[in-house]
Amino acid sequence: MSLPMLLMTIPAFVGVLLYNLRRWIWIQVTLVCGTMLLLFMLVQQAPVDQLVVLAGRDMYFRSSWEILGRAFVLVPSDRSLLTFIFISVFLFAVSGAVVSVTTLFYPVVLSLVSIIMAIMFVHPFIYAALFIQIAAVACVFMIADNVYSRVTGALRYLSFASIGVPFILMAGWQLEMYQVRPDDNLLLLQASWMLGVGVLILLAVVPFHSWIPIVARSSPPIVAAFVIAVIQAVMFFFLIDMLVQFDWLRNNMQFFLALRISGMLMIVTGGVFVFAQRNFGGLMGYSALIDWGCTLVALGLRLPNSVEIAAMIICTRVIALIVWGIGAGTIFNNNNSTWDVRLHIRRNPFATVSMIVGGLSLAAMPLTAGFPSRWALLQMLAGIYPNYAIVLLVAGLCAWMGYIRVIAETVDLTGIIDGDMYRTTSESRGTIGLSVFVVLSLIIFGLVPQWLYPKAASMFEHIAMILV
Amino acid sequence: MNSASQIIEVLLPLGSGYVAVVAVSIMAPILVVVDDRRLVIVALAVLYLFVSLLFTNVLAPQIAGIKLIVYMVVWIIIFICVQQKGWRYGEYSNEIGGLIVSAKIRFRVFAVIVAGLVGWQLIETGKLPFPIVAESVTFGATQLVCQGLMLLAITRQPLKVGIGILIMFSGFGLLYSAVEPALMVVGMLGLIDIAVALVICYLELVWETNTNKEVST
Repeated sequence: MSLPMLLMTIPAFVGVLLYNLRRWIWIQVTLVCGTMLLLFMLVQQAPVDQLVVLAGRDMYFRSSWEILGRAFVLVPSDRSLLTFIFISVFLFAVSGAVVSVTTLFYPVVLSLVSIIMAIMFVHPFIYAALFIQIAAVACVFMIADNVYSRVTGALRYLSFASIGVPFILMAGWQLEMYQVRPDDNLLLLQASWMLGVGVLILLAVVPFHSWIPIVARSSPPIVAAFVIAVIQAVMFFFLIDMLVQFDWLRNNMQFFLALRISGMLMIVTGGVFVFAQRNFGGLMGYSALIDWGCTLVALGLRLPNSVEIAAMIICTRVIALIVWGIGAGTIFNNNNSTWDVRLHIRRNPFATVSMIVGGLSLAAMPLTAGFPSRWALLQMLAGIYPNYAIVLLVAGLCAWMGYIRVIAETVDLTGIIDGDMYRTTSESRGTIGLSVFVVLSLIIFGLVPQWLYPKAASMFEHIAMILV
Repeated sequence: MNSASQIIEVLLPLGSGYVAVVAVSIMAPILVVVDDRRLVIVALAVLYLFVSLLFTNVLAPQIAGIKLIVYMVVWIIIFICVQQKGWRYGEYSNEIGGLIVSAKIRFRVFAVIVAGLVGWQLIETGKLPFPIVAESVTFGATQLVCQGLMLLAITRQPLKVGIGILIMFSGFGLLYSAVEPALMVVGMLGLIDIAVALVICYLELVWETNTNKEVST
């Protein structure tokens, strides 16, 4: 039996089943979580390319699956990345159960897990570009529906993905040509350009970033958080995979310079626009843009430690966005207008705290999970590129100021401090308990980052070892 | 598939060369400029027919037949979507009344000319990273890519954005098929075309709900 085939088909089949069960949310959540646990066990425990006895039967899990002349191969370094994906999907599925999501969220999430694995496993890599396009199409089905019917974000996302994918396909062809004509360095140069441009478009580098704040404003918060945290992380994993696979790309200093510049562009743009936001969705979108910029800058530094910091940023972003999503989803439940945002906030004080703390963690406020990795990056940049460090610091301050401004406009702080709001809350005990739990988790990870760091760093240890 | 390739073989002498390029170069700008859905649907059908014929220059007729089938499926999906939603945009229409042309149309005509010139210059300067199979085919492909990108940039309607993506992909497919004629790639690109058509119809219908809500309130 082929392990990649098993991993890819299980979520696809369960996804089809879920589509028929979409009225029953808790059954969907249970099935998604069960599937993620099963996949997690398979990835962690299944012995690859070895004969084992399972329930009295001989089992042999192959690491590759050949279909129509193409191979889907599971390499050891994929295990930690898949673990990240499965845990993230598990957490988002649980979070989605307590807040409002689009009708197709759960079936699409499971189909996306299959597609994500196809992106990671497929050889040659040009086919990954085709799967990326299919993933983008699938994402649109969960970004918008009849309730969340502002489609601009979904359209922009689809458009930018569609513009980025052809570049990667062209890069693949040029690399094939280079194997035929190894003396022609122009092909390699063109392939680097094409690959760089394609991946940067997919990673929402400025000016291809506009879908992020729009989706953050107009989609269900948990769905927006999922796309920004997990789907974009998969694009980043694709970039890491390219760097591991091609030593000419890894040794191309200009490529890393482009990553640093792109990251700084995202940080500057995020810093400029985050201050002008008037709602929490926009704040989250531009804070996430700054955070993604930090990830690119960390990778662009081309140091083993900086790559581990990038991994830590990605992990803490997922936690922060889940906390934000639970809070924002509870407050704006089935309500995509913000005309009565103050009323909703007054009725949901615990969810408000959750949304604010999650957002501030994304903006790397001290004592939250987002801060340690940002601080580590800042220290690293201060030693190598002090100008970058100053820009990053200013952008971070702008994000904090933006939050303070919106909080001052929309939240009745005296009510929260006096305790009036907590006594008159309309939140259920479950929501209160969950909000308290996620906020405490975020603060604990901020205070004790060493609990998370080794696990996050293991995601990219394969590239950290070869980046010397 | 057999019948599709037979259709291709019958139509092949009619216009797989300059006739197809001219047809594509006229239909793509119409799709960018015009908002009238009846005209858009007809123009898309003609465009897809001639793009399929252009594919015979870079692919075997049987595989070009697959492209024709894919485009027929895409067109049917879009046709059904438009029929569901209605043939008029109402407040968004920008019909030409007498000799008075709206500013939107004038802007779009200007944008189409610019995109056409960019596409033409890409071939003239030889900056394309693709081998040129036939200059006419490459010209048609670059026109499709540039007009598709222009359509993406200047419109907000889901259907037209989707058509922009589809036009861009068809132009890119013409260029890419010359270097990667593998059946698997052609099939995957066809699958993507159908998926994009489906998702655009979904967004169009969702978008309709939104505009209906606004009207009713």
